[in-house]
Amino acid sequence: MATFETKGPLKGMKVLDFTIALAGVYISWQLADMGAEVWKVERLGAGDQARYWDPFINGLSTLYTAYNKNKKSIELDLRAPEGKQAIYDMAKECDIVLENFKSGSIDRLGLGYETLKEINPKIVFVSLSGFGATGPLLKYPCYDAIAAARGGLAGSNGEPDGAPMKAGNANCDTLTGTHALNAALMAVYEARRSGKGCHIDIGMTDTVMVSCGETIMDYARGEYKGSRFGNHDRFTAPYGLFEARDGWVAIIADTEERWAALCGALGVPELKDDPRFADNAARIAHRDELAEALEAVTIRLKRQEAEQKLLAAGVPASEVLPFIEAYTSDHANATQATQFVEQKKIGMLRFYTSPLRFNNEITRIARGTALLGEDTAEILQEIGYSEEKISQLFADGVAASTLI
Amino acid sequence: MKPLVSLRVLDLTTGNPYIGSMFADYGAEVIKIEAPGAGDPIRRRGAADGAPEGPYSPYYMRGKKSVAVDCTRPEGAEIIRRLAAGSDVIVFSTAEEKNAAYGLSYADLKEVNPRIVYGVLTPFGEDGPWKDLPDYDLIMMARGGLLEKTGMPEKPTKFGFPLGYIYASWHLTAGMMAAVLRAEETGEGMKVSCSAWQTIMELDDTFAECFQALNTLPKRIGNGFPTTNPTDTFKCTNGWFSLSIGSDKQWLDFTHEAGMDEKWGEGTVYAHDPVRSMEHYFGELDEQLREYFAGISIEEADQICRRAMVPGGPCNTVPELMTDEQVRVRNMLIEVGGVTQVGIPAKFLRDNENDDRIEPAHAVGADTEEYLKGIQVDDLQLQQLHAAGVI
Repeated sequence: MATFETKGPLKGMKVLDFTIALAGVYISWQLADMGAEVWKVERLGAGDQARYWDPFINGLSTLYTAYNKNKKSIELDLRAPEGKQAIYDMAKECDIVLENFKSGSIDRLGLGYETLKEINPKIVFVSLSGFGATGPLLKYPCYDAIAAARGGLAGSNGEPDGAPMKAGNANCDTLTGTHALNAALMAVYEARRSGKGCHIDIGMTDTVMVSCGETIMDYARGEYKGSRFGNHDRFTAPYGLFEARDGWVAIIADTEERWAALCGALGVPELKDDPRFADNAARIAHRDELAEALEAVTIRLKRQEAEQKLLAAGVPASEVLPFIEAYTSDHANATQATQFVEQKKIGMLRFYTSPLRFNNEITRIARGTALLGEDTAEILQEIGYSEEKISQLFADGVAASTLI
Repeated sequence: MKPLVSLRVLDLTTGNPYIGSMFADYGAEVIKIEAPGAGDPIRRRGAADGAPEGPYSPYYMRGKKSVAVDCTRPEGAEIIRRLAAGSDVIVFSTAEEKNAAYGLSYADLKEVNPRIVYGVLTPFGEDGPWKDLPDYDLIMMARGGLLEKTGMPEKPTKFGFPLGYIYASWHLTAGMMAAVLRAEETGEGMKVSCSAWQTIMELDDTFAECFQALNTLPKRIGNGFPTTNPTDTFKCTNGWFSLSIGSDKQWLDFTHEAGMDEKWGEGTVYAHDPVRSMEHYFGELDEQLREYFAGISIEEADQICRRAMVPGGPCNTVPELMTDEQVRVRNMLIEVGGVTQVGIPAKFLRDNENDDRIEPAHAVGADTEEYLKGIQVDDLQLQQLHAAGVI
């Protein structure tokens, strides 16, 4: 009897998940949110390293719980032959295998694609890594910040003469996870046609190069003018961030009508008649002066006040909301962006729900995050192991339910 | 291998190329439906005054067919419904409520094709108090918290590319692929809708958790990261270098290879966390690191990190990427119609074969006639539709 049931379009799909940390874990997080049954395989006695990441409530990492809800945890010794056999038996039932170990580690364990495809030819095997599975950087360690640096993402943000800027979260991890999620489902689609699965090799540094989509083309046609352009768009002005009395406001006037409306709403009709700002080309040519002139007004307004004045005049604008205001906004509440879920060891904990709606229905979180090995016995039962055999695996120290 | 060669996608999005490109880059037949004349406004991004298309159009439109149809006209909507009958997927960047006004609701399309997957991407979702706010990546990002927490303490930094719409587009395509798999089992499609704003909220990995566990919020700390220190970007003699130390062991290995054991290694105050945590980080250790890196080149910094096997690397920009050996081996710069573009990251290996080829972009309406003939529109009707400005 299953302890919980996920819902969604992927109901019935099973995923063998070796991923740790964040990037790979994000793939199985999303698959689980869409209804797949994720069997997260964890190292005997220790589990995913992210279980030990700050911050904690009652000894359980809240970061870890955020990444691993809706999944099942099976705790196995992958070095023991019986542990490997359990994986082979699980692989027979699965559509997708996910891993992000150091390059080649999974092959050395005898659990790589070449082995598993013999057991299940339709299996889709996703290997996610910092730099991909080839190239001179292959053996070096890569964290999010390094992928942001090497892939040109950090270099795409910030002032031209200032420091490159990575995102305020582990963006390369999740962006790659999102791309790999697509790749995994595409390969399942293909495997259902051809009867053959495949191995997917995806690297974080490669994926985040999407940030350079335009600047690569600039370079290739001899029009390269740098990689980052500060807080304002380089083709339309005004289009960017302006300082307000209590923070920042984003303002976009991308047509002449909106530029005129902006001058009216902010009470600066003289800018409208200023030849430096006569049309978009002139405003781009005097982008810094324009920003200065507008900021002289916005700095005296509260960010919400500036936003309201501009929106009322038909000019796209928004105050830049600090996290807590977004998190607790009426919109977050009305659209159920978060859900309280009973989390073992903690009690009620607030999680983000999936941003996807299927047939206009929100995807509810079915269970909080499993403690280490919480579902070991259940998964072994599901693949047809007898109670006797399961007890033996526990007794031999091959399987466990440490429940930390 | 191109996994999507048997998938047909009708792409009715405007101003956001990333949904169609996810499908097209991996082999799907993507039929971009565009307004007759100028086409999708993304074609004009960066265009000089009077030029019909900007320089990025070949990238944003790559691998896609173009059919020019005015969907807001009844005859145009009828063409879409007939094309939908033979498609697996249809996708919009407008709420279903708006599409319904033209006879293109999910119910309208399900009637002609029960298996169709109907995708919708909106900035804030299809309900809630913000649903009608202007549809711009920057506006959505401004309300999602991530923009406010990116950048140096003194001011937030805007992303130089539409990060939010890329994330949300890729989320939607994944949801649509899940629905396609479902439709193959059940014979019944579904509507899949994605809120870009909620996608950005959901990516938050530290704020909500720190809030719940510590009743406090991380600060905007530039290139730092609250849980691994030191993580930062340093100016070397010839460029910027990123260092991301994740453990005491990595730190000690780094200090050793950097020749700084005496000042930073075992036996010093910095050897073990939590001393390297944020409050010190912006204090004297940070200053010492700045000074250290200012005296070496990015190549030297890179070699130190490689010897120590700790995460570090140069902050590449396009000129560096163009000559980077890793980029070359990974085939992350490809030629599409003779133009260098960013490559495709997911390598689908079967028998060690991968396929990075992508067809060049098509001009607005280049495929109109072919697809309309495919749904039995004859020459006379084509002329009439053309004369009426529908196609």
